[in-house]
Amino acid sequence: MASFIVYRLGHSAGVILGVLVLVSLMIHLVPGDPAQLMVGDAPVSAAQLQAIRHSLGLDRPLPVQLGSDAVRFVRGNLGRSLRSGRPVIDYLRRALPSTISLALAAMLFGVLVGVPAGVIAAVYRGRWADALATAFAVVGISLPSFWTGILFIVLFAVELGWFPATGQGSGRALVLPALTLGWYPAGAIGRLLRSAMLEVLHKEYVGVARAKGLREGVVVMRHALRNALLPAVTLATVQFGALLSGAIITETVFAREGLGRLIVDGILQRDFPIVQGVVLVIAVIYTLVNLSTDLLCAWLDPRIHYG
Amino acid sequence: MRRMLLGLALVAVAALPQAGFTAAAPHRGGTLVYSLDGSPDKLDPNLSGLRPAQIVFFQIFDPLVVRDPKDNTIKAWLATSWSVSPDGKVYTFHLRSGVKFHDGSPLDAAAVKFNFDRTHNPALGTRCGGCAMGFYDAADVVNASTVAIHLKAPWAPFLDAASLFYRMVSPAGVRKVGDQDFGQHPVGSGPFRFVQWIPNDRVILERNPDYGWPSPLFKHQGPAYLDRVIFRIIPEPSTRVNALETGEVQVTTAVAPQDFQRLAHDARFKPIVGLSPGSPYSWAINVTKPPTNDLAVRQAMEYGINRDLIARVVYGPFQPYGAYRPAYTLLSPVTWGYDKASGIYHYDPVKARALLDAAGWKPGPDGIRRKDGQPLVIVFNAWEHGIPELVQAELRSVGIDVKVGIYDALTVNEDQRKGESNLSPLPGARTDPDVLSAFLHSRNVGGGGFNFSFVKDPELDKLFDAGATEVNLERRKQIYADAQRYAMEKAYMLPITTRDNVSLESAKVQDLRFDATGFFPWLYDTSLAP
Repeated sequence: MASFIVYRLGHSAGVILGVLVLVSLMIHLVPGDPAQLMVGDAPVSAAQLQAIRHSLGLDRPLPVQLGSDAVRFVRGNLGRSLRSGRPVIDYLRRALPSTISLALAAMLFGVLVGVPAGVIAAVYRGRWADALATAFAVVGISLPSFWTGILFIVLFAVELGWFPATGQGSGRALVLPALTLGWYPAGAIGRLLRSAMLEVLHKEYVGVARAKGLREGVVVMRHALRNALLPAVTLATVQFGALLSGAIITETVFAREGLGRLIVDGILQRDFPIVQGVVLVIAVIYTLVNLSTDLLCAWLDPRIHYG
Repeated sequence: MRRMLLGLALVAVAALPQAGFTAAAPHRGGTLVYSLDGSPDKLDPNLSGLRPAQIVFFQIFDPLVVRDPKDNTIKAWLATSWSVSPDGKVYTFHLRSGVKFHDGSPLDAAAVKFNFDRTHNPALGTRCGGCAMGFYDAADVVNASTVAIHLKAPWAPFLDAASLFYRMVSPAGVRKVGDQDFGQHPVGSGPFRFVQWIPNDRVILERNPDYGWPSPLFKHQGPAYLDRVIFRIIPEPSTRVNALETGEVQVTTAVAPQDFQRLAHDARFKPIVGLSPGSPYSWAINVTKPPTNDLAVRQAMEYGINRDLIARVVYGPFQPYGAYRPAYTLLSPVTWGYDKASGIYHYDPVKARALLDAAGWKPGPDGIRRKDGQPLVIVFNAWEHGIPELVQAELRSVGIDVKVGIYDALTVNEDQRKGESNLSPLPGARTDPDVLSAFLHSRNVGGGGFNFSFVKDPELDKLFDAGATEVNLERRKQIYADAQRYAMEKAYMLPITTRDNVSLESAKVQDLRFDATGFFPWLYDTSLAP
């Protein structure tokens, strides 16, 4: 097991490095002049734009810029935002906890709602509870989050006044963004779990359990669910990565700070060091999540061995 | 006159909902939450020129002088008086005494010199678009309360720039954290001082209890009324409006027409509109790319669009407030130097067709005109829907085929720079008519300059050079009148509507005014009713 983890970590480091090089290259090659965006609405002279580019080192040839980026990274320095001059690490320190708490809250909602919905839909297959759970899942999967987010704000913040419209600061403010972001995984987990449960419920060992006279609740929860859970766990952890990208829209709609806002602004403003910093963090998270998925599966299914 | 009428209409409209409150004395205390649509870059007036940053740091830093939006003249602030040398190259400011920065250090002539030198230090790469780049020479400390600014050549917009962009930062504050980080730890002399900035979320300011040097154009003396001002960064337009409705913010800017229509007459809110000087919502017409290299085609476009209809369709709810009105000239009506007579193109599709006929553009079987086998196709890029589609429909009826492309700002900008579009949008809020030289002077063609009409016209260059150096205000006004008329005759740009600041505020907010740009709030007199 330990050698497997070491191997996977080494492998991941290569992936992260590759991603970083590709992204650095891409963001520089996409047309667009960061200096032009820094002057905003003010029409400035061509000479002044050149001076801005020079002060940021953007007038150097591309290989030179990439080379100095690489030197910086090797020294463990993420650099400073071109736009604000603030160290990138400051941004990441603030954004990471915000995004992680949103993603975790959304995942919690996804699991707490998705798992019961899937189980109930499978057990009461074809009945109204199944139809309800299916409708919930399909709507959650189909609706884009920027739209559900705005709907939630109008309903729960403006009309009912239960939660704030913007999602930063208190725990209460986290509710609407978490619902918005968590509806999709809730639906996806529910749908997947339903079909997995249906499959398992027809297996012979479930029949045996019933024949032994176990109560239906025990049969469903201990014998069927434990076995049906495996694909759902894989899905949920893969979804965690999707949640990080989904956070881009949710954070914008609810005006939350976070990695999503950071990278979108970074790309739109051609703020290269910010983009590189966020990509690094996301690549690391993805890698760790994938690794822990593998370990979690091994724990859930003793038949899986890593050597 | 038109400006006065507009102003009066606006005052009348703005006064209506407040009429019941005006007698009450302003309430002291409270926190005003003001929403921003974008994030500031640096809270550093010497180095930043970005609007969201300016909205915030104009509360922290004071300027030497200020433009009074009521009569468009320059009034005192940190400088009690000033003079200009006859050759227009030396501006001498006499400073108010006893002014202190938030860190306690004195705001004297040496501090002013420090600010001008820092703005014009090439190593710092300032993004201040309105500053005297290329003109500033040196600042001279005459005595502790007198400073002389020397320019290399006369530059008439200087006082205007001093009223907006040159805001005094604390030299001690800069030395403490360094040039690079000062924008995160701003120290000024303004009515509010900096507390905290959480990136992508909020900037928190608090009242400067020692404040005692407001410009005479404000209503009161002493410290500001509000305890705190919080600027919240909310990029999504519908969330900005929703947060106003839930009471999370008290002021929301850049309100969409449909939201404005819904809430402007709601008793809980008040519309607050800032009319913006400078270039209206104008579009550069590329004079080098066919078919807009043909004067007749450009003039046909000017005659062929019904600006009144466009304003009513796209910005209908704003019309009663005088905002986003049809624009026929290169400067908006509230700009110093606005020349109404230069608005020579009014909607006349018959004339548009006649001009095209005379220039040899004959209608083809599909209604699109052709000349020498070439169809009359115009590429029109923009960063938002609304105006382009209406222009497309209207020009279609005179036989011009408009290809509309809606892209993000950078893509539009790339196409502009490469000259791939015939029509493209321009930024332009500015209080000085010199803004036109950024769009039409030959030195700003290419290299990232904003002359996206690609006009290289010696006649126009001469006028702009004269306008930039003429110190006599009457003569200067005439020069810009000539320039506007000339550029419109050549149809180098297509003005369509004005572009203003349409905001909503909570009914509790009292005395929030916008400065002469129409975009920057003055929160010094502002109070919150309990």
